[in-house]
Amino acid sequence: MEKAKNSSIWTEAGYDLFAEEGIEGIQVERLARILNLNKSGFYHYFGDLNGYCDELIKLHKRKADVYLADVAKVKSIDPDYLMVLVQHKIPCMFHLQLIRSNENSLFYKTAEQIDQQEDKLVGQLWGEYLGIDDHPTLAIRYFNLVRDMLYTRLNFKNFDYHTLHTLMAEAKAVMQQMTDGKELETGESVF
Amino acid sequence: MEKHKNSAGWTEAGYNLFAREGLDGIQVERLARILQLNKSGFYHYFGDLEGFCMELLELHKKKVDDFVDEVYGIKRLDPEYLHLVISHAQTVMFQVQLVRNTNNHFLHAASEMVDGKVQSAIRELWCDYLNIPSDTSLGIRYYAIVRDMFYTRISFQNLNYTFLHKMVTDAKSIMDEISDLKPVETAGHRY
Repeated sequence: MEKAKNSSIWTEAGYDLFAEEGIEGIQVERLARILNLNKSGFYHYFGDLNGYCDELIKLHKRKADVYLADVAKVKSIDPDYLMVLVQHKIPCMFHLQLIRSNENSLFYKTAEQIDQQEDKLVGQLWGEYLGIDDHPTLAIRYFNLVRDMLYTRLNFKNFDYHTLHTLMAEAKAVMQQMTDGKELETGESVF
Repeated sequence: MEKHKNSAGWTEAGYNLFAREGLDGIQVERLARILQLNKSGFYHYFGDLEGFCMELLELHKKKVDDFVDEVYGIKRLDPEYLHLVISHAQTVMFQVQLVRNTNNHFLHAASEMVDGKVQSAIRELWCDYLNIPSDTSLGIRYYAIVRDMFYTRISFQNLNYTFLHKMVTDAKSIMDEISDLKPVETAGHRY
C-alpha cells in the first residue's frame, strides 16, 4: 500500500511534466528535485526510465478511460464535447505528446488505440455537427484531420472553450464552403 | 573571414539540434562537445543563448527563402513539391519545432511569418492539386487545416514520400467526397 502510494507520486508528477514538454521533459534528477525526494526511490520503484514510461502509459490509459466515459455521455460536439476536452486538458496534452513522439511505437500505438475508441463515440455526433450524418465514415475521416489540426493550435495557455469553439467553427465553415459550391465565399478566414 | 566561418560552425550544429529537439536541445556545453570546441568561442561570437537563438532564426529565414524560391520553380504538388519538402527535411523540422514552441512568443511569431511565406508560394500548386479556383479562400483555409495536421504528425522518421503522398491524397479525397455530397443546385444549368 505504502509502496503504491509513493510510486504514484512519481508518476503523477511525471505525467504533468510529460504533458507540458513531452518525453524530453522527463529527467530523474529534475523529478527528484520537484518532489524533494531522493533519486534512489525512483530506481527502486521503476528500475529505469523505460520502466517509468511504461507506468506513465498505464496511468494515461486509466485517465483516457475516464475521459472516454465522459465523451460517451455527450449529446453535442459544441458545447458538450468541447467542454469535456477542456475538463480533461492535461490528459489531452499528454495525448498530443504521445502523437508527436511517434518514433516510439508504444507511445504511437497507445495514442492510436485511444483515438479509435473516440472515433466510435463521436462519429455520429460529428456527422450531425457537420450536417452529413448519413456519411459517418466521411465524417470520421474529416474529424481525424480536424483533431490533428487542433493539436497544433492548442497549448496550455489557450486551451479553453473559446479557442475550441473558434477552431471547430472554422473547420465546419471550411466544410460548408466545400459543399456549398466551390465558388462561394462563406466568410473570411480567421488566419 | 575566419571568424565568420567559425561562428557558422556553431549555428549549423545548433540548427541541426534544434530541428531534432527544439529549444530544449540547445545547450552550450553540448554544442561545444559536439564541435570539440571551447565554450568561450560560443560566448565570444553570440554573447549568450538568446543571441545564439537570434542567429538560428536568421539562418532559418535564409533556408526558408531558398526553399520558397524553389517552390516558385515547380509545377505540381505531387510529386515535385513533396520531394522538395523531403530534400529540405532539416528546415521543415526546424519549422515544426518553432511551431510547437508556443511558450516563446518570439519563436512562435517567427514560425507564423514562415507559414505565411510558404502559404503564398504554394497557393497555386495546392489549388491546382485540389482542382479548385485559387482566387477563393477555400484553398488556403483548407490548406491551413491540412498543414496543421502535418505539424502534429510529422517527425524525421516519417518525413518520406509515402507518408506525404498519403497525406495529400487523403486530404484531396476527403474534399472531393464532401464536395460531391450536395451538388450545387445550379449544376448542369446552361446559360
